[in-house]
Amino acid sequence: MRIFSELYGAYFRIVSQVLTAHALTDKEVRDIVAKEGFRDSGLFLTGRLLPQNDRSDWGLLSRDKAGVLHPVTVSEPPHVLTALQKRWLRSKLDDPRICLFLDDRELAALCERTADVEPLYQPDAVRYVDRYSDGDPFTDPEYRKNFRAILAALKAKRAVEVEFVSRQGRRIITKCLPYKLEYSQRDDKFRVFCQSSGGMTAVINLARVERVREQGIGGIDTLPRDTDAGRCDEPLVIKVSTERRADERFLMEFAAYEKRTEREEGSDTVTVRLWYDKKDETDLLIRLLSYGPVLEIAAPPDIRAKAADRVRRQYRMLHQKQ
Amino acid sequence: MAGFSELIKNFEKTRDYVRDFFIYGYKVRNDFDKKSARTYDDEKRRVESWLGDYLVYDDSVRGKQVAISVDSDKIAENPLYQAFYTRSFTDNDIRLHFLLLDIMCDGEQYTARQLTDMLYDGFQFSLDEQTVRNKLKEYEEEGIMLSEKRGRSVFFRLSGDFAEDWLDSKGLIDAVSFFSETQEFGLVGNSILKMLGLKNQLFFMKHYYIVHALEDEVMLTVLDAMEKHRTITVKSFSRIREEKGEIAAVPLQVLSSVQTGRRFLAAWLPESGRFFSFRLDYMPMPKVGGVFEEFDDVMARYREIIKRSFGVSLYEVEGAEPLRLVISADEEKEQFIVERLRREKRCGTLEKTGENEFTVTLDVCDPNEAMKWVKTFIGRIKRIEGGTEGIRRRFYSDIERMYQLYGGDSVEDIQ
Repeated sequence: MRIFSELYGAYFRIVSQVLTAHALTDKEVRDIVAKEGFRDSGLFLTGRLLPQNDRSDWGLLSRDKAGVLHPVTVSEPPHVLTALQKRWLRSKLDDPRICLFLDDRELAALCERTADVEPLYQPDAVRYVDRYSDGDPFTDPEYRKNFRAILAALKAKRAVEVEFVSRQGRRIITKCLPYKLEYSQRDDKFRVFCQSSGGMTAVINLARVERVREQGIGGIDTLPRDTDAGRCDEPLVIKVSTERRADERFLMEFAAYEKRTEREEGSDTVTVRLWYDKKDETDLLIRLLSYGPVLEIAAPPDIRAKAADRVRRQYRMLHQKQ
Repeated sequence: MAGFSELIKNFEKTRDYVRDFFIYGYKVRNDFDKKSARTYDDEKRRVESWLGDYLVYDDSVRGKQVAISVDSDKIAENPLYQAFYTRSFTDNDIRLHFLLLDIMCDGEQYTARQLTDMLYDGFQFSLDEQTVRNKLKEYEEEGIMLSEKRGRSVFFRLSGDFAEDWLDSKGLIDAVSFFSETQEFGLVGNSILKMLGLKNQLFFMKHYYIVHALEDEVMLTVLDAMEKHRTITVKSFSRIREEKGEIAAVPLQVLSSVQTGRRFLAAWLPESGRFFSFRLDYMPMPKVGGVFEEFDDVMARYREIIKRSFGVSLYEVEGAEPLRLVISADEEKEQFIVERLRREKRCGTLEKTGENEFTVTLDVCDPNEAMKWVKTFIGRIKRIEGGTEGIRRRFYSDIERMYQLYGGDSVEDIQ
């Protein structure tokens, strides 16, 4: 059982798609390769698919007198699940988040279907050492109901009325159009991004939602694109030292961010420009400070000032300065 | 570039290059000095072909830098999965695959001999019977084919588990879409979606370490060994990835940090009689050995020690006392700080120890591991107590150095 197998490979997938058509032109073959393949696949794959005079092709297509291509096979290639894929699906039945997508009847049917399939891994095979402890209640019936209502609205591009309790404890009712569902691996929480009737974007924690009511189409009809609206005006400029292997730790920890890095010849410091969402600024700041003196926020000045302010407060606190 | 192919036979080498392009980004051609310049050029060209949209180039004083730049929050599909869809094969492999599926999708059972004849009669594809039999056995192992022995003959038929039948509800397709972007072998879910011409467009992931996908092959082998209580032999690598020999280990659990992106394999080392955490991203494909008879005993001991680990350290620091972190937070206006302490303290205990003062006590085997988290509270730490003298001294020294770094009390520097 392998993950790195040609069975899942792009070339096999492309050939499967080509053989699904009963008749196709050279251009259609090239288009499939261009759409489904890698950037250079056309150079390597097309010649093996199209019949060649020297028979260097794979012999899977034949050309009729009119020049139209036909698969030499009779049936469309079947999509047979491998043992790896079935075992992966079986493992997901042990994950509480599966409840968000399947009702109890569907879940029971899938359990029955996979009764003789061994899970790919056991739930306790992986321990998340620093995941926050207040994750969403995925198996709670109300949470499941609200999640599914929002997911349905997102898929149908329909507005909903959402009643939720804000972080400050205020009860809010808003009519909005969900356009993005986001899951945080660290927080173990879902958040929904919505556009309100006033054109504002609201981000609501699913666990804070108390009720979702369908509103149908209308009222809010401008689907916002995932623009860079919340993106920082200028990137953070960070200097990370090699001391305590901070450079390596930092680049791994912040791998999820768009960034550019540069190391000067002979220098023990890596300079990183890092782009971020403004709403994450405080979170980012405290994570950067946690590196201690082996990391310096060089710019922009306002963020550097915030870091300096916290450090100064800390210094005074330890040295009893007022 | 004669002989160049965008497909590869071995994922190990490519894994290193993709990771370096993604994680470091500042490396130039000369930094990849373990292999030849030709190897670098070939690997770079492949990565350009697979991940072209995500590659960025910068000219630094040291040379041209190639990096994979991705804002993981903004993508619905991990682009690094592409690297797994590149395994090379022979001309016979692909032809045989599709012709066998075509013959066998009638649901009937055939012997290797019959199939060899049908391949020739129907498609003028001439192969020896052993080649066909080997492919059938390989596909049986992969779960695509089933076999049945009747007398001296083995009959093969196609598995009836079709993706369309299994994913027969919108809910299940949504579930596969979601899980295809989560840590545990999301790649497999992605392969199911691709099989059906589907794509995740619904779920976006925050705090998402897409680079973990590159470890999936190693992790699959490790988890399988773990499940079967087997030992593995790991080529031990130092932090600068120089080979240092082999070491036998009993895999016990994968320890994954969702904040630092690092994943470790917690293991027992029978030779030295101790627990150890291996970085998964540095680990080459291990060899699986025999059953470790004392697995249950070692696992019981591991479960005790992991309860007292703040992260991945399984080493009891001699003389360490419980670490106490005393935090200042306004009870009226700064409940969010108390909430943070509560949800982030892991195995620690939280108590109110004074007016606007809260203390987290961490009775952990290696208090040093908690110090990075402790420093996320910079600006609010009244004092730290316990741990070791070295830990406390370094903390005070760090604050002093940071104070100097950010200009001390000089306002000019910080504005």
